[in-house]
Amino acid sequence: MNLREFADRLFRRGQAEGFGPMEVYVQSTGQLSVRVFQDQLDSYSLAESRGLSFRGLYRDKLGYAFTEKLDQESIELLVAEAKSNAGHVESEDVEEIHRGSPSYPELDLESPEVARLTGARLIELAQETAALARDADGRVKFVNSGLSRTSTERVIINTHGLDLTARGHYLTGGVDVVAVDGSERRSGREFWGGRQLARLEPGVLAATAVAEAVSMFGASPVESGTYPVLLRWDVAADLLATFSGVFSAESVHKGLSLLKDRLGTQVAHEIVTLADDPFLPQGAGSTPFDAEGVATSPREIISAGTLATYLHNLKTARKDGVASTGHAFRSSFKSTVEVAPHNLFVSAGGHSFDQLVAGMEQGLLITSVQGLHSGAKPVSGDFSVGATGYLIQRGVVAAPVDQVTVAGNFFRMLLDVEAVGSDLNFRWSYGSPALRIRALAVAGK
Amino acid sequence: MLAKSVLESVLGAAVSTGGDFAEVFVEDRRSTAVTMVGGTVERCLTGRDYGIGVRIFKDLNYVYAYTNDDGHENLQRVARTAAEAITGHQSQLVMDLTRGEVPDLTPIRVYPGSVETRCKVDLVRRAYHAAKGYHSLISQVRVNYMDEDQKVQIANTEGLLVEDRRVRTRTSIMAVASRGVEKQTGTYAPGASMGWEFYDTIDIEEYARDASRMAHTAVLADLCPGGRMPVIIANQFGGVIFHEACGHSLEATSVAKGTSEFAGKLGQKVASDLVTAVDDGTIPNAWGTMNVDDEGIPMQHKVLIEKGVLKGYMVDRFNGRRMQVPPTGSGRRQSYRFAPTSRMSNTLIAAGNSTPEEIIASTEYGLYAKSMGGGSVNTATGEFNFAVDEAYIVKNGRIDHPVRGATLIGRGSEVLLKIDMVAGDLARGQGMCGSLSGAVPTDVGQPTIRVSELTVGGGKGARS
Repeated sequence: MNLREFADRLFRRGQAEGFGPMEVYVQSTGQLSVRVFQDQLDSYSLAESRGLSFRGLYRDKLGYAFTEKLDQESIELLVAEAKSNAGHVESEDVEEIHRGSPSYPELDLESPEVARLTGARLIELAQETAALARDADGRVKFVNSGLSRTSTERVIINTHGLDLTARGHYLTGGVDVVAVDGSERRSGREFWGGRQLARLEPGVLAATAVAEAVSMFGASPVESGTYPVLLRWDVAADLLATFSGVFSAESVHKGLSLLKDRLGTQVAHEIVTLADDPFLPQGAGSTPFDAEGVATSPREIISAGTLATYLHNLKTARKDGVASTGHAFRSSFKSTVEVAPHNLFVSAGGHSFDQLVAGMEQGLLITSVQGLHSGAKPVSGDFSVGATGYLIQRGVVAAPVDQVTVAGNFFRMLLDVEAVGSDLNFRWSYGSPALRIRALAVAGK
Repeated sequence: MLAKSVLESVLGAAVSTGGDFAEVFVEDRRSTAVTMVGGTVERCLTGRDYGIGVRIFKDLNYVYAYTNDDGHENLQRVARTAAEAITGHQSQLVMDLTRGEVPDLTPIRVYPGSVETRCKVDLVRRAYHAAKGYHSLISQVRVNYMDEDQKVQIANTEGLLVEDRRVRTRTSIMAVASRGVEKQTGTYAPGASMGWEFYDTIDIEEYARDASRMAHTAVLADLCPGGRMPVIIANQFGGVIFHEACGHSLEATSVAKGTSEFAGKLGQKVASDLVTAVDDGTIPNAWGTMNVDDEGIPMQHKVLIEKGVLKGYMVDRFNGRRMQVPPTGSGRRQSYRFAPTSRMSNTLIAAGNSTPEEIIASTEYGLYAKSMGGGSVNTATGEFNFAVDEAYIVKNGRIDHPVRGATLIGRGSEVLLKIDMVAGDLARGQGMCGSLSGAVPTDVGQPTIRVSELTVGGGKGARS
C-alpha cells in the first residue's frame, strides 16, 4: 500500500472512531556503512527502514501510536491504540495539529554525489584513511576506520491538508587509532560529517586521530586545584549538546531548567552569542520544517549574553502566548513531539586558537572529556567528568595531562567565558569555537 | 514470524556469492510507555517494531542488511544485495533448519499486553505520590513506565532455527529537589525480565522515596572535594564499576582485535585475590537474562575472573572466528537494526567475607559512594569514568557528611588490583548498556567493596 493511500484510509478510519484533526509522520532511512580494521574490510551494512507515527486529537487529548508495518491490520491497531492512549492523557495543555506555515524555506539538503557512492568506493576511502593513519606514526598499532552514507525522507501529512516532504543525504567518516609505546597505550579518534564529498579529507582525519593518540604518551595528572581552562572547540560543543535541553520551554515549564524567569536577563558573558541555524548547508540538523510541520528559521537564543528566547513547539508556545520557534522535535517516529534545537552553536569570536593559548599564563587546555552522559546534570547544570588535555605554561602548550577530572556548573561557566575563539566548527549538529573559561575545579594528583 | 521455506530461501540467497555462514533475525516487538510529569499523565505511547536482519560471514568480514518489508521478493532482494558485497563462489551449504529447544529462564505470569493501561497509570501515580510526598523540597517528579514484548526468530545456515519471546518491564522515577536557585535530581529505575507480576515482587513506592531521598540529600550537600582517596562503593548498582572498568574490555568486540587492555592475558593475575567476577545470563527473570542470545545460543554462567586470575571472555560468533574459540551466548543487539556483537548480560562481583560496617569502620578518610550513576570506558586504554549520584565523606571510620557531584576515574587494570575489601551483601541493579550493537538491558551487581585509592573528581577543588 503506498503512503498516501495508507494515510487516506487511516484518516477515514480515525474519523469514524471520533478523532478530530489527525496526522501521520513518516520517516524513511536508507544507509550504507563500511568498516575497515587495519587494511581489511571488517563489516558492511545495508539498511532500509520506514516507520510511521499516527497522532490525532480525541476529545481534545492527543493520542499517539506507531508502527513499522504498513498494512490493513496496522490501520486498525493505530486507531484503536491512539484512541485508548488519548483517553489516559491527563495533561491540560492544549495540543494542536498544524495548519501550515505561510511559506517554507527552500533548502538543498540532497547530494547526488553522496547518494551515488558505492560500497566499493566507501571501502576504498576507509582503507585510504586507515593506511594514512598507520603510516603517520610507527607507534600506531591498531586502526579502525569507517564511512557511512545515509538518505533520509520525512513526510508529514495531516487532515488540514498539509503535505510536506523533506529529503536529505549525509556522509560521515571516522577513524580510531591505538598507539603503543612500550607498555603505554594511547587512543585517538576523529570523525566528520557533511554533504560534500570534497570536504571529507582522509589525510586530515588520519593525522588528527594519530596526533591525538601519540601526543598523549607520557601524560600524567596535574595537582588538584582550580585552573583557568581553555576548552577546545569540540569539547565546548559536546558540553553545549549535553546541556542544550535547558533552553527548551518544555523543560522550563516542567521546572527542569534553571533558566525559568530569565528571559531578557543576562545568562552569559556579553561576548557569548548562542544561535540556532536550521539552514546550514552542511548541518546535520538542517531542515525546512520541524517535527510538527512548522517552518524553521535561524535565530539567536542568547544575544550578547542576554537570553533572547526559549525554544518552542506549538504547545509550549501557546502556553507562553508566543509563536512557535519551529523547534518541535522527534528523535524518531517512535517518540512523541518534544523540543530541541536544529544546529545550535556559539558564534565565533575574534581570537585565533593560538592567541587564546598565548593569552594564558598558566592553565589547562582540555581536548576531550569522558562521561558527559552520566557526569553532567542538565537540571542543576553541574558537571564533573573525566578529562585529558595539556598543561599551558606561559602561553605555550606544554606537557600532556590525563587521569584528571574537571568540574563546574554550565550556567556559571556561561558567565565565566573570558574569550571566544574564531575556530567555530561543528560536531554533528552542535558547534562552538574554543572557549576560555575563568576557572574550573580540577582533580588529579 | 517467517515460514521455514522462506527462511531457507533467504539464507540460500545470502550465501549465493560465497558467504560461508548466513543468519536471519526476525523481530516483532510491541511496546508501551507511560510518562507522568508533575502528577499528570503527559503521554501514553504504544507501538510495534517489526523488521528482519540478514547477516553473512565470509572469513573475517561480515555483511549486515535489514529491512522492515517482509515480502518474500523483497527479502530475496535484500539478501542478494547484501551478498553482492561478498566475492567468491557459491557455497555448497546444505541447509536443514531444525527447530531447536529453548530453555525457559524467564517464565512470565502476566503478559503486559493483557494488563489494562489504567493499571499501569495507577502504578505510575503511586510512584509519583510516594516520591513527591517524601519532603517539601521535592519540587518535581517524573515517572516513566515501560514494557515490551519482543518475539524473535533466528535461523542460520548451520541449521539452527529458534524462536524466543522476551518480556520486560521497568519503571524509572526521577525526583528533583529545589532549594533557592539550586536543583538536584535523584533517580531509581527497577526492572526485570518479567511481566506485570514484577510489581508484586517490589514496592515501587519504596524506590520512589529512595529517588527523592537522593535528590534531597544532594540539594543539601556541599560539593565533593577532589583528589586521590580510598573509595567505598556500595552494593547493587555499584557494580557498574566492574561493568565499565573491566567488563567492556572482556568483550570479544575489543579482545578479538587485540585492542583491549585485557587481550592475551588469560590465566594472568589481573585483579586482587578478593575478586571473583561472572557474567551470568541464566539468572531467572533478571533484567539482562535471555533464554537464548540474539544469535540463538543459550546464555551461560561464565566465570570471567576467579580469585584475581583472568579466566574467560564474552564471545559472539563473528569475533569467535578471529579468536578461534566458540561463542559463549553473548551475542546481543538492541533490535533488528543492529548486527549482534559480544555484550554483557548480568555481570557481578561475587560476595566476599567482610561486612559493609567493617569496611566503613576501617576507613580513616575516604568517599562512600552509596548510589552510582552511569559511566563509560575507553577499552583500548582501560580509562573509565563514572558519576556518583549519592556520596558521603567518611572520616575516622564513620559516615560524616553528604557531598554532591562526585566522579570517579581510573584505569581498569589498576582499579581491580586495588580492591582491598569485599563484603558479603551482593545485590543487583538495572541499567541500559550502550555499545556497538545498540542499547541492551544489563544487570550490574556487587557487594560493598573498597578500592584503596581512586581519583575522585568534584566541584570543590582540592581537599584542604
